[in-house]
Amino acid sequence: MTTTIDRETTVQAIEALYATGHWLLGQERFKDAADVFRAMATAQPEDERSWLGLGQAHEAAKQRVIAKEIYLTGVTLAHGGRCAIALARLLREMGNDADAAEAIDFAEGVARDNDDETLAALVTYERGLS
Amino acid sequence: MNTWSITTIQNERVWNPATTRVATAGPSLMPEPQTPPSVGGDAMSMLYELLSKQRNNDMESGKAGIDHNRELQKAQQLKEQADFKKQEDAKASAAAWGIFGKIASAIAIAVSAVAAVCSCGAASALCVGACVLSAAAFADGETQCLSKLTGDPDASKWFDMGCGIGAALCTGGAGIAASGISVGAKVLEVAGSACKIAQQVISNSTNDQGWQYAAMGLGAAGAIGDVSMCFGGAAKAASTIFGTATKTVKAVAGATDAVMAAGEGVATIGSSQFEADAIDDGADAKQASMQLAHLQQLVDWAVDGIKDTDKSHERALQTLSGAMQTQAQTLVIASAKV
Repeated sequence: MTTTIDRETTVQAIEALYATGHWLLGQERFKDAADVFRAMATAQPEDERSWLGLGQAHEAAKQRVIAKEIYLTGVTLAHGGRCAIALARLLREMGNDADAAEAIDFAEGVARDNDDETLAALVTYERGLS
Repeated sequence: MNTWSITTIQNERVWNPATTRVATAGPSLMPEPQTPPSVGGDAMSMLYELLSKQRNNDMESGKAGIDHNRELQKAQQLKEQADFKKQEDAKASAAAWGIFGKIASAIAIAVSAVAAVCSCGAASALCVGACVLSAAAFADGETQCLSKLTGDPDASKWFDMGCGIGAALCTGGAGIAASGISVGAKVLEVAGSACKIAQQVISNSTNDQGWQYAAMGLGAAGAIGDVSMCFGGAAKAASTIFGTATKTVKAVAGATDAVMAAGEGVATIGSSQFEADAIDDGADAKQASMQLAHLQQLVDWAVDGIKDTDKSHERALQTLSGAMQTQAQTLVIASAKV
């Protein structure tokens, strides 16, 4: 049994988990995907992809309140701009445009702070919808 | 490591869960995963290593808990020896040491559990809470899960009102500081709940139920400090705690109350311990053997918990292995068609 694990191997394992969860989502195996993303989230909570994937799994399972909480957790723990955008989309679907706008503002702040052009593009896209 | 790509936004040909699987529409937010060769290893071996590490963490966590109990046991034995000596010296007194001694022991165990929960920090508490919520939702469905957690049929309304993070993001400032405050509040809720459990231990410590609560607290502390709690068994254990905790949070109604509850618990510990030390003439062999038996029972429970967690890892591994194999078969079929 391996007693220690180097950082690189951990990173690879996380990537493998993400790839597995992503594939399971694509297969519409939402519960299995959630299990995998939950494992990833617990092992590396600062990686927003796990919260994003977990939230997507719950959304796909028609669990919007849970998905909202998951996205909020991703925003808080990972300061995830994409989680904020996913949250904004969900809030908009739930008819809460005001809070959705605030979530987009948060994402914009994250994009600006991290100089993330891709996220900025997503923010621009979302603003065009609202 | 994250490969956010602008092409993902502009090119809808890639699989897009946000547009095809869920109600909300828009460009995909999820990046394409890196294939295992690009990260320099076989996916399954990575997963095996990760699970191996998690299992090892479980064992270490469990061993630490058992060592802690053994230390308590040793301390208890030393205390009992001293009590016997005092009993010889103070036979004239007729106070009931036994009850106070038991209270002190139960509190010591419960407080160690509370300390373990608190020391995990904001991220762990919030992460665990979210993961437990997620697991419970898939087990019971959203509505039932929320109702069970909150004890309120109008659960989603409570969730909208009660979750501090939501308030920070959606109604207050969306900055990091605000989020941080909310995380702190969340931790206090957890800490407050754990303190409530400790209080239950205190109030029930004169019967066996109290020991069960103490064991439950120990289980929660172990699970929360453990990266593998998201897998079946540990999550199930933590879910029980979380259900109790969430109901308690409603009663506590705020971080201030939670802190006060913690203070109250500590004050009770101090007074009970003092009385346990001061009143010693009732310490007899029967009482001592009962306490040792209870501690032994706690150790046994801890060992059982480790076994359950280990089994859940095996189940998780089987799921992952099956998923990877199916994926490989799909790729083979796809490549055969090319």
